[in-house]
Amino acid sequence: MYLKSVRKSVLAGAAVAAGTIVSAGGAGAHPHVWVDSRSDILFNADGAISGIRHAWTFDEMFSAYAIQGLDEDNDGKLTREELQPLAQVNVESLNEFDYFTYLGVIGVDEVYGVFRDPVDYWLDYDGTKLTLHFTLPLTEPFDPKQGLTAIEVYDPTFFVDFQLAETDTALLVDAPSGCRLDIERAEGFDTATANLLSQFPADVRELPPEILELTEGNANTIKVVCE
Amino acid sequence: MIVRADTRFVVLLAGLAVACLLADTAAANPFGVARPDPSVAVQSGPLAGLFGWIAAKQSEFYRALSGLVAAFRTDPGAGWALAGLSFLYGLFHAAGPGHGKVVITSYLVATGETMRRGIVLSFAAAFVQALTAIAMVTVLTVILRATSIAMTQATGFVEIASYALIALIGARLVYGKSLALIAKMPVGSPQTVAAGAPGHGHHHHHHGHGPDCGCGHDHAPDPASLGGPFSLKRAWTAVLAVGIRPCTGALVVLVFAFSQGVYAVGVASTLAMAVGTGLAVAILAALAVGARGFAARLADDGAGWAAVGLQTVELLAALAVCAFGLLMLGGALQAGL
Ligand SMILES: [Zn+2]
Ligand SMILES: [Zn+2]
Repeated sequence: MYLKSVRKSVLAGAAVAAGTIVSAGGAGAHPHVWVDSRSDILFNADGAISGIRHAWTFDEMFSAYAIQGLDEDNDGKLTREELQPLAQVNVESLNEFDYFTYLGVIGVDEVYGVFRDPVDYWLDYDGTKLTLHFTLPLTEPFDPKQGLTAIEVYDPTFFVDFQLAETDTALLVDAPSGCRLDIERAEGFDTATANLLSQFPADVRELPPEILELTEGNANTIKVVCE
Repeated sequence: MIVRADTRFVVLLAGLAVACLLADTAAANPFGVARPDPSVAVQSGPLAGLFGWIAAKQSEFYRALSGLVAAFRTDPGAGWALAGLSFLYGLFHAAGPGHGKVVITSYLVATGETMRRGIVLSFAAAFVQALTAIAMVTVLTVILRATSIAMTQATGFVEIASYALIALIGARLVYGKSLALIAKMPVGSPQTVAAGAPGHGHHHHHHGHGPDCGCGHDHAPDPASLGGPFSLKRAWTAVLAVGIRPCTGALVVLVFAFSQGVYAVGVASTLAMAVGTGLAVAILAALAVGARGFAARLADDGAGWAAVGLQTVELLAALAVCAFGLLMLGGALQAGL
């Protein structure tokens, strides 16, 4: 993880202290949902990044759970309209989790992009898996030339296991010539870190900074290199 | 009297402090459907590695479950593997307080139940939890064809009910235990208390310790635990309080099995999980009850301060039940439906 998380860690500290008081041992976080992630980096006419368009494919078990009862006309197919209420719930809930998406200049804490509420969100279902599509616009366009720019997609608490998809992992849309992508997949956690993370309750969203530092190198990083 | 008021105040304050400290754990899910099993623990110390390994295994088993459920359609031979894996998932997964580990063990310590009852209660809670999951999916998914969104809301309701009940049970225990402890405090010097002990031919840990325990034979019932044969009956409230909150893992597996056209397999898997969960909680409960029994024997045979110590432990356990209920209730309310 190159980008410093902008989250507060105060709550985590309290939750951690509290958890230690109440309970000896617990296994909460460990991945519950697996996601294959694809991202398009959108540029405006000035050559600045204006937003990110994600397509996240969920694992089969979670997909089956999520789609239950949504086939309103019972034709065995799930249309975009039938899935729309679920898409709505998905993006609304993701808000609290910063959409697991971080944009910034590597190594500089202060320079990061702030996302607005998602637009153009919808789901499709291929018969076994759901894919959530949504676009995160930036409140202000982000100039990728101000430093080594990167987008990270990951869940620091490891409730969701994000993998960058094998194909079409990331695309530049309307980028000026001279821009390219450099993709670094999360290496996966070493056992000790995975163990540590897996012990965080699924519902703790703010990890203490020293824990966040441990996860360094474990974010899925999409570097946007513009010359 | 001043001592009494002070103690009450301190107990109340401690309870509130713990509750406030803990109230920030929201149990939301990043995708809004399928509320995650809540947990409040972060492990550090020598056992951290073990718990981490448990968590990793749990995750592995959970993923493998979906493959086996799907495989069962073509190969019924996968049934045994599925049962075994479900059992292991339950066993490893029970480390989360969503499965009542904290509540059941603290409850047993506070009320002084026997080892055998503790084990029965642990399994009972696990099975009530499995049956709730089966009942919810059967009614909501199979019969009513409710959406995952409605299901998540329903889970939210029972979650809140469960935590409120746990908090109430805890509050009642705290009340009873603090009265007992307060009554104990002003009773003379340690010597006076100890003097009563040698004549004590029987063991006390099988019933709720009344305010008098360790100091004579006036066995007035402890307001919180009426002791004796009635305690198991009372314990069912704790079993239900814990059990009405279904395990999210079980819900997802059940719905997945239904979607694959092998619902019965999901039910069997959920019951196998309950055996595993029950076993894990029973082991912890037995350890806690055993430790408490040991302390109770010390208290019976030894100094009066040991008895006070035991009652303090009971009070702390009662506080833990109450705090856990409040913490989880706060989290559930914050997460909303
Ligand atoms: Zn006695
Ligand atoms: Zn569970």
